[in-house]
Amino acid sequence: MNKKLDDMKPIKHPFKVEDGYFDELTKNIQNKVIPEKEVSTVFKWQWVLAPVMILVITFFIWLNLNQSTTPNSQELIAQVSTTDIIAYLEYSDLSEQDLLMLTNDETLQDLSDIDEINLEETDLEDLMNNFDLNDLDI
Amino acid sequence: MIKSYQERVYWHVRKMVIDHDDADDLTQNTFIKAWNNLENFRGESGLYTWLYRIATNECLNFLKKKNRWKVFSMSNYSEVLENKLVDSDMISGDEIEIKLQKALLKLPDKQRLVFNMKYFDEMKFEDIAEVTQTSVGALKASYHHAVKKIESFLNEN
Repeated sequence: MNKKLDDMKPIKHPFKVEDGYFDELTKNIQNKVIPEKEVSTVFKWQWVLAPVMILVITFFIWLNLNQSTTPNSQELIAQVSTTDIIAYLEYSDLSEQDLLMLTNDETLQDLSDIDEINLEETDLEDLMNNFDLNDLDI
Repeated sequence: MIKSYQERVYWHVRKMVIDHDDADDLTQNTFIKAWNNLENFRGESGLYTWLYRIATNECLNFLKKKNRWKVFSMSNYSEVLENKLVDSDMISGDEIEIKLQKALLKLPDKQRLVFNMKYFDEMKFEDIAEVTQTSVGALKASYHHAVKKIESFLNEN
């Protein structure tokens, strides 16, 4: 008599496994899957953060170099000696009046107080004698 | 996901590779791959169908590698598996069950795969088509041929 597969009752799981194997399998898979995912997340963050950190550090280095190489106008003028400034002013076309207009010193701009200064005649003569009147552009 | 599907995936793999240690490795690989590619699962097919497909690919690649190596040793890998069936006490059924497993090992791997899913797992051809990415007609023809070959083997032995 010919055997037919339809006459056989199939055994769903024809192979054997040890008792408790599937509990072990769950643990083994979880141990392999979960740490791998965590490691890969850290790995990705490192690669994202690294270029950002390089950019930030580069920016600060550039900023620092830029500040140290370009001093402001006050620092620059402080490096010039007083005699050099006087020499420059003597050769420039600026009149005393122009210099007074440029200055921020209020005591020099407001000359109204001069009238109120009461000098003795002898003191005034002494003061005038100290100036060479030929040097004045009057 | 692991607890819900690990047994079905394991039995699917075990029927293909016969050896428990190989089935254990391939089942673990299947879940690791599924976990790492979970964002690629679009939900168009069921999660189980998706897992089945990964497991099936794992099995076929494994068997392909084994057959490639066996070219040098002048023997077919299905013969190695048949010896494993005989030598070890790994089958829970009777003599006819061992004969059936031997007959299955005579089939090409893909045909054996289709037979297992239809005969043991009682899957619909439509679901098998989704797993194997084959047409239902081709699967029906493949299963029909497999049944004929197995019945022929059982009657001869």
